Amino acid sequence: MKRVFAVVVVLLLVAGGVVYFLWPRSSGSNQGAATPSGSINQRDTVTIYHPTYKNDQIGFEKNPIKVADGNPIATAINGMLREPKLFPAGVQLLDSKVEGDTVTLDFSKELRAGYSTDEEEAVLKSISTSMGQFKELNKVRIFVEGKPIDTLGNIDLSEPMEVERQ
Amino acid sequence: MRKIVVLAALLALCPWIWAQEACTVSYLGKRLTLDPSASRLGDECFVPLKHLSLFGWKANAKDTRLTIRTNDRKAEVFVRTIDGVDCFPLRATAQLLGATSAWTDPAKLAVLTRIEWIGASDGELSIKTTYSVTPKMFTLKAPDRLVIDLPGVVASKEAPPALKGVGLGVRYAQFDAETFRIVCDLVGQPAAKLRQISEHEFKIQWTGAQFQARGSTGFEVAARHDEAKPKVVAAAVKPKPPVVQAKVEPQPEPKIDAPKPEPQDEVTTPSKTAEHETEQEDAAQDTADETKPAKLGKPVLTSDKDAFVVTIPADRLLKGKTSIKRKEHSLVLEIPNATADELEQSFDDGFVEKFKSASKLVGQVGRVVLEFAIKGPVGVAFSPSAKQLAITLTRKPAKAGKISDQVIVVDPGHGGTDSGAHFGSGVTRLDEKTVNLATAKKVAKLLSNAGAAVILTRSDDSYPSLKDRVATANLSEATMFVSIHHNSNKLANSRSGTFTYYHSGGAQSKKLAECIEKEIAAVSGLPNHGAKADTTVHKTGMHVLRNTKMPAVLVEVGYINHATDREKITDEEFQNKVAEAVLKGVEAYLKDAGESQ
Repeated sequence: MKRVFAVVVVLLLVAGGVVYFLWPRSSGSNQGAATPSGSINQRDTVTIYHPTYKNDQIGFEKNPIKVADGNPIATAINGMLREPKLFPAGVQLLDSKVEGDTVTLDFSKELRAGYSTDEEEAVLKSISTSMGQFKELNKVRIFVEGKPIDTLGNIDLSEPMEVERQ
Repeated sequence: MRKIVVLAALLALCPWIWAQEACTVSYLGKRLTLDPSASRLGDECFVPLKHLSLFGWKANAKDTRLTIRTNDRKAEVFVRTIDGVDCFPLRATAQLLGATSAWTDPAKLAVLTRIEWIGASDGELSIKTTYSVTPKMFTLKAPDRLVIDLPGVVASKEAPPALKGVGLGVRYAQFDAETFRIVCDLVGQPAAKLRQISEHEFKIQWTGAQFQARGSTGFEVAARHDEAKPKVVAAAVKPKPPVVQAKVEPQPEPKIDAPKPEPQDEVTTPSKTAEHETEQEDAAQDTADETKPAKLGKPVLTSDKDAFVVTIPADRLLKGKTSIKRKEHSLVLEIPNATADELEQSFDDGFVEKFKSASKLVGQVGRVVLEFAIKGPVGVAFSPSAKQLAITLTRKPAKAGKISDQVIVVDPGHGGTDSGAHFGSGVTRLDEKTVNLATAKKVAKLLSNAGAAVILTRSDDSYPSLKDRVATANLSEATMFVSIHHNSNKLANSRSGTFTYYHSGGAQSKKLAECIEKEIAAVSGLPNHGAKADTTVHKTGMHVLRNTKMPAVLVEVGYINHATDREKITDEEFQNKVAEAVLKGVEAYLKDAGESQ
């Protein structure tokens, strides 16, 4: 009986630790309540794309990470949002939805920060490249607080962006 | 068995250990350089003891307990060893000492002060905070304002918006995430003196008659650090003249909130701009008389050789959206929730034949219809303000090829809540929108002096949407569109130089871009990246270049985050040189176009 009790206690401790580790922090990035469809959902790992500048061109460092919460799209975007030099502080992915070959990413209002042309280019390229890793997707639509946006600064986003494959 | 339990318990603790992350700290608006760095563990931030002096605190350690003192408070906390370094819990310490703290992102902690009281009596404004504050006072021009910035200070958004009844022209707001700003109108340039009463309290004392407070009033501000939202304090709103410059000097502080297309050649525009929201007195009146329509006063009509301006005052804030419909020989504006006396006036200037205003009832809502009977094509600029409308019609050129025959829309990029790129923080922060406007105004002035009819899409710190800017150009049947921007990237001093963008496939736009970029390259002393298609930036291109119907370019004058570029682009002489280069580029383009015809 004592042995059973000890095992239960150990299991509870392990479970508590894991929950603590994985639980999203209040001021951290939102995991996003995505509803990815089909084979996107089957992935165990995704690539996080971090922009780099070499010879005046935007390139990307790639870091594979494990999918969190069974949501590959949210994992890929949230990983990218933690890049402090690229995205404004506090931006969260609120939701993501896949319809056909188009994913709609709904961000918090912090995404509407001021951008120069180069900064806007880097943000949009990071998003379109990040989504380009999913072969099922061809287009990305960007929403802020549930509403479509025409631009983040200069670039015309009135139509969905095409994803960029690496 | 006991060994297994202990081992498992240790394993269970592993996630806590793994969850430890390096983090940065800003203290009262200033980022601290910490080596070794602070660590985030759960919601606490542990800072190595060696950095205590950076906070200006006195501390005594005894065993694992640490006592930290300020002038009037004391905090007792436990020391914790992280990666072999003794650390103290910063958030707990800050809270015990009266400060507050918040994770502004998962790896950045801001230690802040909260506003406790703002009040005024007998020519004095007093501010109390929960923790140390170091106010910075400076003045801004046009209009003259006294600004008191409180770095590292936050207040709740529920804070009362204005010191009503004080009569100081004082307003305040969260300027950015870590700066609270107080702005006072400076009429007659009164003297102001700042007195620091204690670490938590200071007073501003005025000697000018305009700032003698009546009575005594104040507000306790129940601040919550996590609700602090960046908000820019705008200058008091006053009716401003229209923005079109037709062979005249640019107005000192005109304003345009250009129309929005809905659908093609029909525009609507909100009568209430972001700026209006800061005009607290009007806002209060507006709320009180929510249902009462605005009464439009008698229009003031001015006309000269090239422009016809109608300015219509209103007795209260204009609400709803004004629709503008353009027909072949007339322009019809419908202003909702408003009334006006009927008026009809004829003109004999060969430009506007007739102006009519009339009220009509649509359902329960009054509408005012303004109708202009016009001869030939005209440029249109519509400037709604807090309590007035201004409609400016500009004569369309009869022929192309000369600068004096051009209608040129000059577009200072970004504006209002959209700062564009920025460099630095606090009072030294440089926003792209500011240098865009400064340079664009100089461009507008030179083009105007050269004879062009120039329309600025904005001439103050407002934000017309990109659709508005496009609509202004298309409705005005402008012959050229020149947008002024400055660039930036995320790696300081990594990139420098100028670009001029055009929309892919537009041969005339490309020609105009080449002409302007060539002239800018000759005077800028910066690397010249040439005329480039906007589709090289992104496949869809840039909104204003893609949707305008005339040759359109977007000039990136330099990089705001490159030291060499920044020194130049903030220099008025350099801005004048760029303006001259744009003028020369436009002239070269027109010359080429004339020769090719």
